[in-house]
Amino acid sequence: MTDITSNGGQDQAVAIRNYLGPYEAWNFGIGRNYAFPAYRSTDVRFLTALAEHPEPEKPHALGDGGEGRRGMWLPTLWGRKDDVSLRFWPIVVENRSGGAISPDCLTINLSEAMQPASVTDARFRMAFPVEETSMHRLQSRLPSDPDWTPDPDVKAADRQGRTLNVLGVIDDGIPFAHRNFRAADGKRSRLEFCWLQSAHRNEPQGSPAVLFGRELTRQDIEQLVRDHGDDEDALYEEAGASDPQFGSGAAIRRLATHGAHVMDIAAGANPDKGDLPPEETRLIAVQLPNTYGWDTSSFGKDMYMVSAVHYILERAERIAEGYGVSDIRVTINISYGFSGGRHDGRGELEAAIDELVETRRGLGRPTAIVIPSGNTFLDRLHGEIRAEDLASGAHDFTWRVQPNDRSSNYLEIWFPDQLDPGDFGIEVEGPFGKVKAALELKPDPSCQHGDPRSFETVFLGAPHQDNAIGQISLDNHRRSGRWRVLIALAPSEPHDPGLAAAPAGDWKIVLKRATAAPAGHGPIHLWVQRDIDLESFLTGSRQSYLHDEAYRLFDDMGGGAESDQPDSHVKRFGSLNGMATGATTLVVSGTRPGIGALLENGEIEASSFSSAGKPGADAATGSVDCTAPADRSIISPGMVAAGTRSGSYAVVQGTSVAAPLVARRLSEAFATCSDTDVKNAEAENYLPILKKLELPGLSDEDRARLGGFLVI
Amino acid sequence: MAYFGGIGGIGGIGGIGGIGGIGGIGGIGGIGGIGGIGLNATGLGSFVGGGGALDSLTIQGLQTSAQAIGYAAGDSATNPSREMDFSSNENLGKWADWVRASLYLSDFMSEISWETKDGASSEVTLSYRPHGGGPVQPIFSVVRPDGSLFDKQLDLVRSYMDQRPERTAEITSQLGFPTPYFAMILGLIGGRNDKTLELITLTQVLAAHVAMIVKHHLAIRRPDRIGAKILPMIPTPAHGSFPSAHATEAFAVVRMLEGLIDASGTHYPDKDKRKNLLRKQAERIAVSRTVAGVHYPVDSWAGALLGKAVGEIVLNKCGAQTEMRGLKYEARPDSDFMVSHYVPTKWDAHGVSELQLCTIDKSDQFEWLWKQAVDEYDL
Repeated sequence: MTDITSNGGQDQAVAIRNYLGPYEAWNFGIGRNYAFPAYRSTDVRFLTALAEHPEPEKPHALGDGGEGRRGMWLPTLWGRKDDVSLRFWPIVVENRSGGAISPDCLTINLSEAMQPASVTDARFRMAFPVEETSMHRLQSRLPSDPDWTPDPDVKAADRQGRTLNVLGVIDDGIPFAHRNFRAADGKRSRLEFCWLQSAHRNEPQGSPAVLFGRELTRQDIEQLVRDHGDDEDALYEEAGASDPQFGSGAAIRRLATHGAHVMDIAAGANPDKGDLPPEETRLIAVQLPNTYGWDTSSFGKDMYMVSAVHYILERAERIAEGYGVSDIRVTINISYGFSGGRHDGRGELEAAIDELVETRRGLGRPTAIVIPSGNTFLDRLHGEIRAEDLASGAHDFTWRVQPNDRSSNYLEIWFPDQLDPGDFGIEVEGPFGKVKAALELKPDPSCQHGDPRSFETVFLGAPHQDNAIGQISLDNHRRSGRWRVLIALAPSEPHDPGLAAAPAGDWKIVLKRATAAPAGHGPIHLWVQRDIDLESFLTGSRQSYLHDEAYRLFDDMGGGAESDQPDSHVKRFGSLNGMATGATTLVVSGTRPGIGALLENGEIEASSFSSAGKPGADAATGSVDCTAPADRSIISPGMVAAGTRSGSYAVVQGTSVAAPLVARRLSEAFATCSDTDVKNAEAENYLPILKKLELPGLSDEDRARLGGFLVI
Repeated sequence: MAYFGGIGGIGGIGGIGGIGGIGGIGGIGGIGGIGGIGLNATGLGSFVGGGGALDSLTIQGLQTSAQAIGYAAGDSATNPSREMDFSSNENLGKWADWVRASLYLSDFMSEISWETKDGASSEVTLSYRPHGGGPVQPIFSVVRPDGSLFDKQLDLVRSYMDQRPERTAEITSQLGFPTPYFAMILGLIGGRNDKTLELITLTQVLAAHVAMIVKHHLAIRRPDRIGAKILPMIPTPAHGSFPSAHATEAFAVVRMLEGLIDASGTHYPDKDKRKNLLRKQAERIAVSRTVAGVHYPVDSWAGALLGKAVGEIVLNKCGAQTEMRGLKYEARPDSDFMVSHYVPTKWDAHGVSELQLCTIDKSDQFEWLWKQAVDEYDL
C-alpha cells in the first residue's frame, strides 16, 4: 500500500471512478465475478496497458520505472535510436492496491505509474495481466540489448542480387525449432529472434532483453536443436515454451497449433518436398500468451500485440545493422482478429499499429502489415440500422444469447462519425420480459475525467432484482470522436452456479430516436463481439448473434445464401475483422477454387466464412485488398501446412491461413524489387509489387470479398 | 486377426492377479502381443475357463461319429509309444502359449520378493534373489509421498486436460497393452514376429504384476478422488495410482526391445532412431494417462523406473547380459514427467537415486524364447 491509496489519492480515484472504458468497467467491475480466471484472481500483480497520449511522447517522458519504484515498466521498444515520439505506448503497471483489481484500483495504479503526468491526460486500455513468474520486475528502465550476432554464413553468402529482409509472425503456439524454419543444412536457424511472451522468466533475472517471458536468439535456438533436436518435447520444455500459464497448458504441447500452421505458410521450407529455404528472409517470431484460454472476446490483448510489433521492428533494425543492410524491409503477419470495433481504422490497436508503421515508413524504411479479413461472414454478428428505420421513432432488433454460455457477451452499437446521440435512447428487454433496462444516450455529467460516458446496470427482474447481470454504457473517444453503446451481458451459465445468470434467449434491443434528433444521419452499425473457443481450451464460450426473420440462411436453390437481403438489418457485408481497417494494413480474404476450376486461372470463389467490407466504392467499414487460398475446394476445407513437431502436418481453415501466404509473397517481392518500386507501392501497402493474378469483371459483392487480386 | 483384437489373455490374468480395470474393460485393449498365435495367448483365462472347448453341437457330433466309425480302428491292442524328454526346454514350443506365459510368470515372480517399511517415511522395496541362492538385491525402492504432494500434482494433471480431444484415439486404444504402438516402430507382425510379440506380452504381464504389488502397498488415491475437476475421460481403474502400470509396462517393453535391437545384428540400419522412437512412444503412452485424468505425472516417473528394472531383469534372464543397478525414487511435488529427464544424473532433480549393482541369473525358459525371437531378425 502506498500513500496514494490512503489519502488524497483515494479521492482522486473516486473522482475518476470508471475512468476506464466499458470493457474494463465490466471485466474489473460489476462483471468481475464472471470474468476469466486471470481477472478474478485476487493476487494479480502486473497488468498490461496501452497508453494513448494526447501528443507524441518519447519513452523517457513516460516516467521512470527504474526498479519498478513507480510500478510502471516499458517493454522492448522500437525507435530509441531514431528518437521517435509516439502517442501510443505499451506499458506494464503494478497493482499496488493490496487487493483484487477493481476500476478504482486500476486508476490508482495508473495514477501512480504515470507520475508526474496526470493520468487524465492520457487514455488507457487496460488488459491482461502478466504472470508473476514471467515478469522481469527488476528490469531497469528498458530491457537490455540481446546477446546476438548475425549468422556468418548468411553474411558471407552471395545473395545474387536479393535484398535481405525481415518477416515477422505474431501468433500462438509457434514451433520456433521446427525444421521447416531452418537452413538447408538442418542446423542453422532462419529465425533470428523469438519472443515467448508468457514463458516463465529465466533465473537469475540478470539484465533481461525482454520485460516479460523469454527471448531466444538464433544462437539459442541452434543450441536447443543441437541439444534436443531428437526430442522436441524436451526442446520446448527447456526453452520455457511449454510453461503453463495461469494454470492452462501451453498450446505448443499439442500436435497442431494456429501458429505452427500460419508460420509454416509464411516462412516454412519443407526439406521433404525439396523446398529451398529463402535465406535472405530473416525471421522473427512473437508467441502471444495462450490468451484464447483467458478471454474469448479479444478484450485485453492490445498491449501484448502492440509490444510484439515494437519488438519485431526493434530487432529488425539490429538485423539490418548486423548484416549491413540499410532501411531494412519488414513484413509482419498478424493472423488475428475480432468482430467488434469501430471499423474506421481508428480503434486503439489499429491506430497504435498505424502510428508505428507510418513513423517507420517516414524514416524511409519499408514496413508492411498483413492481416486476415476474418471468418464471420455467415455468423450474423453484424447489423445496420438506417436513418429511415427509425422514422417511427424507434427500431427494435433481436440479440440471441445462447444457453450454456460460460462467458460474457457483448453487443457494440456504433453511431456514425459526428452524430451526437444525445436525442437517442436504448432499451433492453430480456427473454419473456424478465429483465428491463434503459439508458438515455447522454454523458453522465458526474464523470468529470476521461471520455464522456455513462453507465447503467442491468438487473434481473423481481424477485431477483438485486442481481446485476449486465451493463449498458455510452462512451465517446474524446480525441478521435465516435459514440458507442456497449451492452455487456453476464454468461447464461456462469462457472459458479451461485452467480446470477443472464437469461438465454432473445433479447429485444430498442433503439429510440426523439423527433428533435437529425433524421438524415448515416447508418448505425451493430457488431456482436467475438465469443469463440478456438481450440477447446475449455472456456465454454458460445457465440451470441443477431436474429432476424428476414435474414435468409439459404437461397432459392437450397445453397447457403451469401448475399444480403435488403429487408434484413442483419448483414454479411461489413463483417470485416475489427482490427483490419487500419490505413497501413494489407487485408487478405480467403478463397477456394470454383467447382471444376483451376486456381491458377483465377477461377475462384470466396470461402463461405470469409468476411468482407461493404460492397461498392464506400469503404465505410473497411475493405479487402486481395485474396489467397483458405480452402482446397468446396469439399476439402482448409489448407495443409505444418503441425508443431517437425514432419507433422495439420489442416487449418480460415482467413488466418490465407494472410501468411500474402506475407510470404510480399517478403519475396521485398527480396527482389528495387527501392523505387517499393517506395512507389507504399501508399497501397505494397499491393502493387505483389506477384498476383488480377480478377477482372468482378461484381461489387465479389470485389468486396476478394479485393480484385488473387495471390497463390 | 488376433493380433489386434480379442479379449486375449489379459482378461484372464485379470481373473487371477487383478490387473484390475484392464480386465474389466476387457475386449477393448486385448492382449495383442502374443497375437498371431491365436486368442488366449497368455491365457490363464482360458485355463480357468477350460479353453478349447467346442460348441455343444460339435461335441454331440463327435460322439455320434465316434460311434459310427470306431470299429474301423480294429482291435484294442496298442502299439509301443515314445515319450517326451523330461524337464526339457525343447518341449516349450509344444505347449500352448498361455502355458508358457504361466511358466515365465512363475519363474520370474519366484525370484522377486518385497518388503514394506512403515513409519515417518513409508517405503516399499522390491528385491531379486536367484533360485540358486545368493544375496537379496534391491531392484526398486520407492518412498510413499505425502498426500500434499498429490494435491500439488493436480494442477499439472489439469494442465494436460486440453489435449484430450487430440489424444482420444490413442487413449482409448491403449486401455489394454499398447503393443501395436511399439509394433509400428519395429515393423512387427504376427506370423513373422510371433516370438518377439510373445516377449513383449510377457514383459508387459510381468511388469503389470510387479506394478500391482507396489501399488497395493503404497495405496495412493487416483486424481479424480482428490480433485473434483479432473473428470477423467475413461473409467478410473480400481487400483492405486502410484506407480502407473502403463508406464511400468511401456518402459519395461522399451528396455527389453532396446536389448533385442542390439541383438538383432544389422537387421535395422537405424537402431538409434528406433530406440529414440520407442522411448518417445513410451513417454507418450505414459503421459496420455495423465491427459486422460487417471494418473499424476509422478506416477509415470515411478512406473518408468520400475519398468526399467523389469526390462533389465528380463534381458538378463534371457541371457542378454545387461548392467543393472537398483533405483530409489522419492517423488517431488513439482515434477512433470518427460523422457528427456529420464536418464542418469538428469533424473536426480526428480528424486531418483541409485542403489547397488544387481546380478541377475539366466533362465533356460527365457533363453529359449529369446533365441527364437532373435532368430526373427536374421537378415
